[in-house]
Amino acid sequence: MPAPKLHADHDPDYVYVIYIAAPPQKIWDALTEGKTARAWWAGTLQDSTFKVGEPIVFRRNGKVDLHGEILEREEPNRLVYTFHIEGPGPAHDEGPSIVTYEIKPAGSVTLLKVTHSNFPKGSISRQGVEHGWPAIFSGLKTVLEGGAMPKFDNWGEEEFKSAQEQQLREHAARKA
Amino acid sequence: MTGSKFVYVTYIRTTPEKLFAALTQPEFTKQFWAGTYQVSDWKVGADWKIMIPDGRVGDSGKILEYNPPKRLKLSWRNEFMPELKAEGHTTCTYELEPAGTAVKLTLTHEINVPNSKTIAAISNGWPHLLASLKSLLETGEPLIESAKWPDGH
Repeated sequence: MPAPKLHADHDPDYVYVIYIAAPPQKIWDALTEGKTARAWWAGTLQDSTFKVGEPIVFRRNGKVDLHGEILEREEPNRLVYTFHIEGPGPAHDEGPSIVTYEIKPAGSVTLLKVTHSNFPKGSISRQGVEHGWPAIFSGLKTVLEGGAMPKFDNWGEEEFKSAQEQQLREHAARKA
Repeated sequence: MTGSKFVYVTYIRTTPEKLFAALTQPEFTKQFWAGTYQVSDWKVGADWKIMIPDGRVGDSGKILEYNPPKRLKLSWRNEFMPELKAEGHTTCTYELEPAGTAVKLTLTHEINVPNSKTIAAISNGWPHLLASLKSLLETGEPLIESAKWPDGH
């Protein structure tokens, strides 16, 4: 599988850091769990062997949300995969972005750092993930520390939808 | 863009009232925020400071907006690290919004200084402190490393 096309003119990487009171292996296991529709990830089921070069597919409510490919794997410390939002739509047309999970001990707890990169300038996908990642990783921390997953009214879809519509309006205005 | 800015979002299973109290009241901050506590009358225009357990002032400023349990905005200057103090006052805004059975906390900490050393320093600190706050409110226990002021600092 080819590496994704890298955007020469790009938006800054999105970085999220969270500290979790659980060992790195438990965080790795949760991030690579493929058997259940994970409540902490908006009920998304992920399907992959998590081996380098293999595909990864995210499904939600029976529909494919995202797909990609595993680029790097170093259990339990590092996983890199491409992240391509399903189409049709401007977010899909931006092509695959790249997600990196870094998991490392930090004293008695574990630091999980997520770096999401390769967004084109003015990216619509970046606006979507900015809303999604904090809710997802906040939920992961809650669950791994023994709590019940909070119920959210939405997972940033509303913000994503309005950002996507806004961009379509701007495109239309530029053409007019 | 001329200034420096740090934004962090976290979702905590609690109520806005409890979260607002945890961000401002000594009985909570002493547990998750390195043993520190804040002193203020909590009125717009009032002075505000963070006390380090050994008696030093950590940071200080004024209350710019006070709207519990939704919003708090502070001016904020580091007082014990000369190169950070020299940059002057930052502003720090906490926004709390209900999100289902959780509360969405958005923290924005900024200054009109390019490549600010203060913003670089707090960018490292906030994720750890807010993770500890989240653990405290959800499980009753803060994260161990952020519970006490670090030796030699």
